Amino acid sequence: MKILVLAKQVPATTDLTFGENGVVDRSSVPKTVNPDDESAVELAIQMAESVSGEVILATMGPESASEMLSELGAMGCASCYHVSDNLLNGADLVATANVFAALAKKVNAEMVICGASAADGKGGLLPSAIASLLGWDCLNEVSSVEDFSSEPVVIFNYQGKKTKAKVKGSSVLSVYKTVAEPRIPDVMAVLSAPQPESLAVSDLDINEKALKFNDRCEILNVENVKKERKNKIWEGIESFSDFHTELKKEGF
Amino acid sequence: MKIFILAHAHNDKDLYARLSNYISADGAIWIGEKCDFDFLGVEELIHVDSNSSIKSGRKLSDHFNEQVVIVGLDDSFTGEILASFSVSSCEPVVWGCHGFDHCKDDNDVVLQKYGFGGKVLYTSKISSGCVQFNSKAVDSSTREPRDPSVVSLDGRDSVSFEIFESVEGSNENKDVTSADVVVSGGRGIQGPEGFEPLRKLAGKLNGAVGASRAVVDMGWIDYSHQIGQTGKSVSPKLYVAFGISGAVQHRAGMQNSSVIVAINTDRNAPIFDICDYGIVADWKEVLEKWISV
Repeated sequence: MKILVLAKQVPATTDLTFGENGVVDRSSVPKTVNPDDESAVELAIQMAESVSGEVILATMGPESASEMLSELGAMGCASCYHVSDNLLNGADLVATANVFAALAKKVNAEMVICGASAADGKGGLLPSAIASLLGWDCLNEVSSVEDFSSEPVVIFNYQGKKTKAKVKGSSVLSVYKTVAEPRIPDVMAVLSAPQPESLAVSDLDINEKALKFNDRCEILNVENVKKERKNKIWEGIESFSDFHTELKKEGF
Repeated sequence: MKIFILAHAHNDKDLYARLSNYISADGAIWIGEKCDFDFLGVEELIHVDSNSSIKSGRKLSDHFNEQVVIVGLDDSFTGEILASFSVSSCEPVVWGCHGFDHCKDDNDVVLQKYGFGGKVLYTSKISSGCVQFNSKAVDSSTREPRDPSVVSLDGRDSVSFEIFESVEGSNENKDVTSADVVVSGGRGIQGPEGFEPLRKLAGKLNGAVGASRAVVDMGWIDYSHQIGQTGKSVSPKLYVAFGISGAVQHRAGMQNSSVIVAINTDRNAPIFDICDYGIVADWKEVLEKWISV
């Protein structure tokens, strides 16, 4: 079984600056691996180990993301792909989902695993979008996996309820970091890690319309927000009634 | 362009009613089996008989051959449907919106949403696509129910997973993203048992229980309660932080709350820099007093 795992490099800080079009300036901030994604890689490796499968790791983003692929690839991935293309600067959900769905087809993946959310974007919609393009189902917010066979038993969020289910066909799984503790690769694993292979948009079979993201949504304005706080602070439990009176005035 | 509001069996009826009042849609979409919502003021109802979010989104994409904006709430099942519709139709999806303005003259919808933990306010414009609306931002309901004409779409199909059971107790607590009040605990509450009195206060205030990443990582409470950069983003009317220092990663998930209250023994904790009201005191003493008043 071939499992495609998606990872994202995210800013390691919330102190961000933004360009005129509202896109984050990622060049000037330290970066880290999205926390859920490390566990996604570990889960994929454990599943692949139990069914003699292979893990293919992929990311989309600027040059610096290649370092992340090398680090994660050393955990036990068979190959790594880095999709990087100026045509994808500021890519939206539709464009990003089309890139990864096309890549899943290119590598003949039978399962896609990714983090349930990205630290720099709270949408959490990408896994469902990829599943839709592939004609698969999506099991979102997987919090644990009980059986690492080719038909894994997972606990996921189904219609707002934590639900146990057996995965019986090609699916996209979005996972929380609780699914598996990421391993730390040893020196030999680091030395034999697969080299990331670069892919451009032209290497993938992508619907042209999907890449026209600037036509879909026009950003009219981006404003920095600074909320003024009352900052009224009391010392000691004896001031509780003063505190409670103020809260009552606020309607609580 | 037409505006449709999307609902499914697991949506809160009252919240749906408030949303449909706020948006003033032309039609409604119902996902699931038997439909028992009041569809306020809409002329057309599209019923997709399906339990699959992905297939429902694709079915809707096949159905509409005109420009449409579909508006749903900010639950995960709605997100899955809208994501599927978005990629199937190559139309945008904007999530977490709290402002919606439809100008019938230029046929566009102008949206407002906060990004990056409330640090940035985006205003954008779409002429078709999907909007996931922040449930905290919808107003009260005044529109009258009516009997719309119904279009039925059969979306029943097999899925690639076999459901065994709902996991017991998983739905006992209110979701932090939709609650008006969130009572959160951090390392300062000293252990998993600290969440018991927090739950009591959350119950008293009709709120939900949140947590910092540190205590989730230590296994004191389930991941679904984690608030912050790597957890959920919340913007309740009242956010109460017990024993939370207020690291930037936590603040990214809650600093957009209307009123922030901090309780901590360390006067220098960064949480006090962003709070409206704070008490420098033992969390247990404050909690006991608050529960008893």
